[in-house]
Amino acid sequence: MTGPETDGPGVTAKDGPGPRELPARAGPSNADPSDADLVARFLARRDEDAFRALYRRHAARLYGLLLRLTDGRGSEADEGMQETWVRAIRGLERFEGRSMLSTWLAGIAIRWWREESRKRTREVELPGENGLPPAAPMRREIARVDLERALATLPGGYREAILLHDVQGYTHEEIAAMTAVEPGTSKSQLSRARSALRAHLAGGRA
Amino acid sequence: MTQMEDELTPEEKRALTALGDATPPPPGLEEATLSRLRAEGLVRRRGRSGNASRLLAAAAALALFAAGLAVGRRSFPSTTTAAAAAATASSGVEGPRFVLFLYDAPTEPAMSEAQMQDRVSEYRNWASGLRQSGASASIRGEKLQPGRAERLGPAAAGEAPLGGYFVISAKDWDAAMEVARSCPHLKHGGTIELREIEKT
Repeated sequence: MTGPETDGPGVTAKDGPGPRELPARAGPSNADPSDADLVARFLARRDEDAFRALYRRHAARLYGLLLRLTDGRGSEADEGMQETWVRAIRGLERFEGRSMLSTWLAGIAIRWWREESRKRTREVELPGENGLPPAAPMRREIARVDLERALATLPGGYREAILLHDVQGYTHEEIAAMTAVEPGTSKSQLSRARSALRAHLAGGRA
Repeated sequence: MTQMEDELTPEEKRALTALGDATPPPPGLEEATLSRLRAEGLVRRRGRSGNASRLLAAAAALALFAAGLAVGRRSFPSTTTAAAAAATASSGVEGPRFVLFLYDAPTEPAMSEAQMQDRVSEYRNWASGLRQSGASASIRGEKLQPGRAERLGPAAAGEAPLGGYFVISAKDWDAAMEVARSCPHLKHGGTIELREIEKT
């Protein structure tokens, strides 16, 4: 999608970087202007400082998502980051605050990645459940490197579901808004994705 | 798979959540993104307004050239061009010469007049100190002309702007590295690339 970006319905607007507060995440403190304030300031004057403030507040989380979507290929993540912000700024006037800005940005990043995946003929569609081996939940500590390898091995759609829900902490409602599916569809995709991930971890194919 | 099996175990949850740690993007990416936004007219360049800014810019440029130092910002010459200019800078000193390319800090905020003067003094004092201590018998620098610039080769996107350079003399590479490490540009978030000037 290269058209105007708008925020989807159904998610209550809040300020801040996102639903899961991680210690390393730089969110606004009480003294910092809210996302809504910065957006208004930017739109009023196309203000560079307002853009920089928004960028710095959301960059680390957005870049983490893009880096994992692109299997750690930094140059692609860089390209995705620029493209996400360019599209976001182009469509910022149509951002109505019905979702958090971080959710809206993640949605733009996801759509960019899907387009790129199609261009590069990567697999994005989810495979059927029939081909997946049964997998039990993992009850041992999982090494980060194993998990990263397993995620990189998953089909794109599965990786996307796990990254958005289990890694980035978005709710099914937020994911539904950013990927244009029903929340129930998001849940079932996540279920299949977790099963596939466990299969890769347990079967040594990761 | 049962509903229970569909939920994450504590071990799985811990491992997945840990992957969500913030990942700072490369330092130059903010500037590269801004450059694209500016090119499309989506962001207005930050600037000081009115006569005060023009006077400040003129005063700063004069001070920089008078001191022979380089702290200019927001110019994008190719390294090749700057290297050629540096190589023609005559030091009058025998022995190896080196050039320190100064790349701007990617996120440095605009400076007030007082801050600009402080910065100029700081770089001037650093250069004077090098001469007096004998770390570099010769040192000169120049601010690069802002405006149009072109880069050739693969190192195009994501790099910080090249703001200026110093040409120094030093007895060898290690001594030149010592000089580079002492440059105040580093503590202000800038990047320095050290190159030896080829003898002709």
